[in-house]
Amino acid sequence: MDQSARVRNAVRGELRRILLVEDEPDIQSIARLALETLGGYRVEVCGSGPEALERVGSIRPDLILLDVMMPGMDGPAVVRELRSRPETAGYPVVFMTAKVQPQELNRYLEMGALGVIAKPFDPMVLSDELRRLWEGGGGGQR
Amino acid sequence: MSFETAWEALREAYRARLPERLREVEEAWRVWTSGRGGGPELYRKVHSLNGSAGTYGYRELQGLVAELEALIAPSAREEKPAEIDLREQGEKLLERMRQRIQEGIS
Repeated sequence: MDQSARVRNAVRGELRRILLVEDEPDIQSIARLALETLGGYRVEVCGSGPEALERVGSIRPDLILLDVMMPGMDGPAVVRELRSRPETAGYPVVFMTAKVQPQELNRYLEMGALGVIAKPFDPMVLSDELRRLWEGGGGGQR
Repeated sequence: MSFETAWEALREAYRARLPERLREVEEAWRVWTSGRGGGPELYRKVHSLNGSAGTYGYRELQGLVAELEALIAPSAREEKPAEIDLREQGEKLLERMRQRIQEGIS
């Protein structure tokens, strides 16, 4: 993790606005519902990595919830691009993925992710899990 | 609208789309197993259906899709051709998915 990401992660305030980056509309719908209704968050949705990179500066999310496996540009590629730009390098990221083997998890944490949400996720606890990661409860999967 | 009401509405809408989702997988399956490539695209569709079926709580269907994903992953993701025994196993799984969806999953 680079220095700007460390600083940004160290001074996190209240989690209010989330940018969800997910290509699957059915997952977008249920994640948005769960995060807005149960978590009380404001949620913006992007359907691809390039769209997220284009809009993140105007959305200014507190946290980016990022699917790993997306066509074209996958989640790790999005993070690498975010980290390469000074103005976006510090955004906290949580990955969502079906592949949460320890080796993969470590790779995501080394990229500066706060943690990983395992897919398929339980909509009833998604908000709680995200809050736990935000509050520094560790990077492990559910 | 409460979370539960909205959640049930989303689940029902998703369930109604499942026949079309399965048709898309079957079409991609036909392309790949006929040697016309398309392995990564098939894998992406199966992986996506696996994740969404699980998230929406259709666990039995998800189990079948997960079996298919595991079956095709080593070859389809690498754009390798489908071997005969793999095709037979995959056809059986697709048939079971069709049956479950036609019978009305809950």
